[in-house]
Amino acid sequence: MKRAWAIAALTLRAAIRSRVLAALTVLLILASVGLPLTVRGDGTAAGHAQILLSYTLGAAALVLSISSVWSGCAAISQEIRDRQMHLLAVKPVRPLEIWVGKWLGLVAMNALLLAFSGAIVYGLLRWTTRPEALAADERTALDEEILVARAMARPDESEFEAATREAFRRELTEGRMADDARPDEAYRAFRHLRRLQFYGVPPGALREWRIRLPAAPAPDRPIFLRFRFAKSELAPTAVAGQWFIGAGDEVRLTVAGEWPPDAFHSIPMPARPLLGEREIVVAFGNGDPSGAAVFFDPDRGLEILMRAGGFAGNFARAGLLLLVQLAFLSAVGLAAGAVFSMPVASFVSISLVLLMRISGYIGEMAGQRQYFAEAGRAGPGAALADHALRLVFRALKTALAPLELPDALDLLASGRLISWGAVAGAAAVHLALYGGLLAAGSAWVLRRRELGLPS
Amino acid sequence: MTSEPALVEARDLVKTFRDFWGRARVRAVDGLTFSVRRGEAFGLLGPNGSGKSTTLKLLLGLLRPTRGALRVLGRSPRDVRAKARIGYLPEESYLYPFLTPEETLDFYGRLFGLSARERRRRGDELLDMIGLAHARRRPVGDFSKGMARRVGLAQALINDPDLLILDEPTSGLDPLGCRQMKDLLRALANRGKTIVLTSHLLADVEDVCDRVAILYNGRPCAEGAIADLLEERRRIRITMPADDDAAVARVLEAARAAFGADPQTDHPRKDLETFFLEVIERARAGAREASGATAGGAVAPYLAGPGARPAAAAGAAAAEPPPADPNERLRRLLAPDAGKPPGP
Repeated sequence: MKRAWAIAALTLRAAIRSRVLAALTVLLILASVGLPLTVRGDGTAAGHAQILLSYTLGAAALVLSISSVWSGCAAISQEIRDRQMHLLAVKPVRPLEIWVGKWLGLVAMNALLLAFSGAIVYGLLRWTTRPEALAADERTALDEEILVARAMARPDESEFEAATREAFRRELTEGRMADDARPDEAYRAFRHLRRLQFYGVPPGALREWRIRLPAAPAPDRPIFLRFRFAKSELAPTAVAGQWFIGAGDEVRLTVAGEWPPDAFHSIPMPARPLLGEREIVVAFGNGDPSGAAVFFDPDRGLEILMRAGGFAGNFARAGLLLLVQLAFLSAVGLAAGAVFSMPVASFVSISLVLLMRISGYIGEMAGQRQYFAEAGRAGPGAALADHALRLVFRALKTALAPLELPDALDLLASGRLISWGAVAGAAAVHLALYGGLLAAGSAWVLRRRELGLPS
Repeated sequence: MTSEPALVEARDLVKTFRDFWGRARVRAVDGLTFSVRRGEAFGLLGPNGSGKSTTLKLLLGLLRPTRGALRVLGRSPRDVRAKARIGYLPEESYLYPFLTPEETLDFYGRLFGLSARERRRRGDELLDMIGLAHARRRPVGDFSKGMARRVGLAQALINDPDLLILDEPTSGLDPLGCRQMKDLLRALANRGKTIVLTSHLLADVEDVCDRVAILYNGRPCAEGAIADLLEERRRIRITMPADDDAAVARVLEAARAAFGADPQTDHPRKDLETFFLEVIERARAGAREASGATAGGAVAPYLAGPGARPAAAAGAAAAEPPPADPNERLRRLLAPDAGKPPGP
């Protein structure tokens, strides 16, 4: 490992002396200071904070992501091209030590740059939202909704799932499914419809959801009901309604109001009426006079948020989550650089990163049964191509699914908790599992590769 | 010498370069068999494309043989335990241009697991030895080719290797640097280091190596001790004072009478290298400071090996001439106690 550290120190020194670090630092300063000056928020302190946290830090993360992939590719492939690797490979250093050393150096560089841009953003945020610069209510809203780490809870869907399976079984036994329908595809469509109903509230109706809280409410900390819905009419007029919050059969809080569709709304509620409760019932009565039904977004349209920690800790964990992502991108670049020369290595690694970005689409495609046949192609060739494509999509879905990470900056900008568990889980999957596989594969390639071949 | 174990053993070595599709394109090494014993300086000679550098890369594990057996220090060349005992100077400077000589030696020393103290000590000694102590904090990228080459040699010696592999060691060096490099290599060989080198410059190989193999198209054409390969045993050269014309005439007359033909005569000449070194030595005596490499110092004291002489003798070793001619018959003829020189 001493040799790997020596190579790591050399990699960091190379970044410093080749002025890569300086160029990236300038870019990060431009992104961190320039973006808040050019992007207009909604004029509120919360909007300003969200711009700093999501846009500014997001721009810095983008710059570092690109540099991670590129410098990862270059770190090995350019040394092979320029033959410095000859001198390294004839020393008593194992290929894995070379790879790990390079990777540690790149991670150290990313950590430095990320800490630098994080410090700028944090400083700007604290300075622009200092108490004397804000009105008291703005300050309170900021502290309770953005500069905080709030744990989140969503409706319990276990009863819904059981009821859906039972209803589908009835559909099957009663022979209401078409003969040529595939049960798994039919069940997906059936569940999708039932889920929309589960989160839909017809006009004049009341629907309730059970929500298990992540912790018992504290008396002096408000709880937030955050929601977003679509309505059955195109007119974007506000929908009138009433929220009922309670435990068991007892209603303890009610909030009446009108809320526009297709926007997030956050209602602060005193925690005292719910003290000691771990499971609450939230119900919405649709009292819209125009008779529109509302549909809460099944994925993020109905949440309870509770304070679970301070902003500084959440900010640090968001930084760690970003660092895990950058370290993984460096590993992808290094692995590509161990196999290919530039610029092929950068094309390959960028393609891999793009595949990760469209993992949702890949998941959808993996769920399909036909691709060519659906597009009007018929015959055994189309069936074979469909089969092959399905296998590819399923393999990609299986490989990419563990790599899906929560959006650290979105969570941070909406004041939601990034847990240590999430950070540890990301590190375990991205670094230990996939990073380990990339390291082992690269070491195998480097061991097999004949570095002395004429170029 | 023959009882010494072989540090490098190659048997029927073949290396074929293939194209992207795996089709054989060039057979760079074709059935090469040789061995290098401990303490020997072995040279690989040949024109461009004869397979010299490919052979070195096979010895270093940078290439894998297509066929044949190769053992270096009793192991596979790709074994890290073998690599720990090898020093390598490539043909070009493959050093990191952003590192200073001091940092370069420290980095490679760390790869050999040397302690910080030992790295510092060896680094200082090597920088003194290659005459770059004054430039220890300048980036290697700013150096001339010759200066970078000296740093390359120093990094090859940082681990006090048993086997030193050098690809064109005098390439890019000025005559002074060439002389120092050759003296240094001879001194290292005298200290028990085993040396394998390639060179286009035949005089360099002659000055340094005990044994050579001459390659052509990847095949060995000749191999043996330099003295055996080059010596013309049926001819003798006599060097004597030319101040007394009558004495010279008598010697020539005697030779003519003995062999029935006029002997070939000329005035001995210094070679250009010797003359150049004398001029530079005089110039250096009058100069104040140099920006490039200065005269190298004594062999770094830590560079010991089997049969090495004490460190105090190292300075003298660096200036040692190549070994004397072993031809006993000639020695007898020239020895003062062998009686009078041949005459009428």
